[in-house]
Amino acid sequence: MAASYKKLILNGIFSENPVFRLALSLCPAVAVTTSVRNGFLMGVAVLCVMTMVNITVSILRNLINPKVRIPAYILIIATYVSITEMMMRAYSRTAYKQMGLYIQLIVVFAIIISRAELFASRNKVLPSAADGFGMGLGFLGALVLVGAVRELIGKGSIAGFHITASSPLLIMVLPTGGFFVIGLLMGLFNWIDQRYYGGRPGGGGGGHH
Amino acid sequence: MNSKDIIKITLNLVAICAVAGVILSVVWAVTNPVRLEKKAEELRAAQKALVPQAQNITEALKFVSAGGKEGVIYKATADGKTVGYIIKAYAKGYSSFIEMLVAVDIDYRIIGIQILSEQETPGLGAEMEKKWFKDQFRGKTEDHLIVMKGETKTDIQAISGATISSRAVTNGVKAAVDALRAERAKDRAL
Amino acid sequence: MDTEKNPQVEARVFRASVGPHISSGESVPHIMWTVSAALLPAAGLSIYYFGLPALSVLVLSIVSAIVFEALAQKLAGAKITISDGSAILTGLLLGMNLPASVPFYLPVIGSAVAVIITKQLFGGLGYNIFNPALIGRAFLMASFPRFMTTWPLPQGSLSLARPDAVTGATPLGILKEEGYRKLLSHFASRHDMYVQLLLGHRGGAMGETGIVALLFGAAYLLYKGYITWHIPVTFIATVAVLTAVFGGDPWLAMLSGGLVLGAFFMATDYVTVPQLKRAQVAFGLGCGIITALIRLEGGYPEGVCYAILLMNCFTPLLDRAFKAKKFGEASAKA
Repeated sequence: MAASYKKLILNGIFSENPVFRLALSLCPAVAVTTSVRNGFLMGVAVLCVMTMVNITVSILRNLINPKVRIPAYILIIATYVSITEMMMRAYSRTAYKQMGLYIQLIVVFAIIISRAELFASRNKVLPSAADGFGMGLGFLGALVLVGAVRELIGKGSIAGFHITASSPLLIMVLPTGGFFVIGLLMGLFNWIDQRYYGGRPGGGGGGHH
Repeated sequence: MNSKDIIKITLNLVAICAVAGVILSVVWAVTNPVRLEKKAEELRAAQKALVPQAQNITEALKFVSAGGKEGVIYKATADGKTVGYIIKAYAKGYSSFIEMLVAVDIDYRIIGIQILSEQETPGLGAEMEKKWFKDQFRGKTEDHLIVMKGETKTDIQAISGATISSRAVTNGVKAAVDALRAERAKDRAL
Repeated sequence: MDTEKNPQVEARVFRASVGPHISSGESVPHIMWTVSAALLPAAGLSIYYFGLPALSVLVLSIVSAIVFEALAQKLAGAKITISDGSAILTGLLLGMNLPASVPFYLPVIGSAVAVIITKQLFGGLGYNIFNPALIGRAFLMASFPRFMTTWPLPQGSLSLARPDAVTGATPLGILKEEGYRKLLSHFASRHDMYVQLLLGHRGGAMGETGIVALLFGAAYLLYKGYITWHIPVTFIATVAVLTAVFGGDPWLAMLSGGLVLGAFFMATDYVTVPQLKRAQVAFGLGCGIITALIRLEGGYPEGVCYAILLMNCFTPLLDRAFKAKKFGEASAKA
């Protein structure tokens, strides 16, 4: 049993990484990842929401009428996101000021509703929790990685520690830079997959569906 | 779908909404007082930093600032006398509305400014939050609120590469002082 | 997926079958080399105005464009095609879009973005969506705004300079920051301003200054039939008309900024603009509207680069929208 949970978690981090492999929820991956810190905070928020949503949906899976399951899932997600937002507004104000708008946007992240629909609604509580946690970790990792690359090249620092005196390539902290970094990292992941794991050219997990 | 189904589905959603509503109300009831208190504290701290000698800072009136946003004039008093005003105002920057506090003495001389929030270009416009830029405003009167591209001692030196943001802040400060002047002309007691 | 792919396939097939510009049997290298040659007078004039720094920026951007093209093709295991002249043209155009005073690494980074990311990653010559040189410039503009908006003044010209300064604003920069009256005060008269602008006595990117030389090169390309009037003329005319309508000076609008360089040499790039005459007119119109909007209402003083890039996105759409009419035209001519 333990091995399969590990597999579920690793699945979300590597082979079905939400950002680099599933290409889901790219909007926040571009918008908030100007630094490691921002990427990390957003990632943690999504990780918490995803795990809780998956657990809740799994518990309620036999109580929710299939005809209204999507509105029901959205309600559950919105509840957890609102809780997260209210907590941040009260207890973590600097973080909230930087990304308040994007926290509210978590409600419509495709990755969360797709895991609720594809996994949690069909599986028991613990595997669902593991799936949500793994996917959340994959998302968190991707955001931190994108944030690190952008902060390093864009501001010349890593997690706030300055490495160079001035910003080497300012464009990287602008939205445009987010597209560049995600595109190039996605290419790198596909290349690694193709070269070392025999994935199909063009990305084995690149489907959007 | 028969009527029994419709009732079942409705009840299903109503139940989820009800539970979600209860949970959210509880969280809101717990966090909202904390949030309001912290927000007021932030404003107080920023005001106090601008006019340290003030014993009392009270909201005097509201006016319409840039972009139709709500500006506020606060009166700073010490020993019963007015020592200055703090104006919360907005300015349209390069990529955002800049929210700022402008402190002036009773002769409309700038005591200092604080940037409360902005979304300008990181590394360029956002340099306005740096001390050297904000400190330039100290002691300036309205006729020296002019942005210069090169070095200047008497006027406001632009952030290099970000003339638009620099000008936005400067014009915003000017507009805030103008607003105060206009309100005081209307209301002598202010 | 299939439905998504079809339009592209169609566009490519139909492009290859029409090929309006390449109808005289000229090879791609020949055209690339000729366009590069047509830019030489302007490049020469900018070296005359800005001295050795201009030469070094041009050489650096051309050489690095060639090196990156070869490198990218070698890494991808493709045939190395640096002799087709397209990398040289990209490098030259990029260099012409920069101020002569930029540090050495700017042309190198710009060329890397232009050739590797914009061109080779999309499949090489003929498959890139955007004009490589312009993406390179936009990338540098967003990354190094200070270097990219510090304009050296032509040597021997003091018309826009403070006596002790070697840099100054571009005419459009002055227009945006300080207004038309202030700009006019730098010149003896309005007539003098037009002449100075035409001759290139002003701050600006290298390719923005020598309007006379650019027009000379453009005239040669028009005469040889390598470019047609449709895009450049609609582009420039739209900017002039819109500027006049909104109360600006249309002559100043035409003679300032990168309009002439952009309209004749970059909005006519075979790969990234529509092939059909009607679509080209629409393309030029769109470029003109966006340029005028950015100049009149935007945050930047100049908008030619972004206008062309934005319209590049619409190229497949425009070609498709005017397709039916094209077949009629083609058969009538044949």
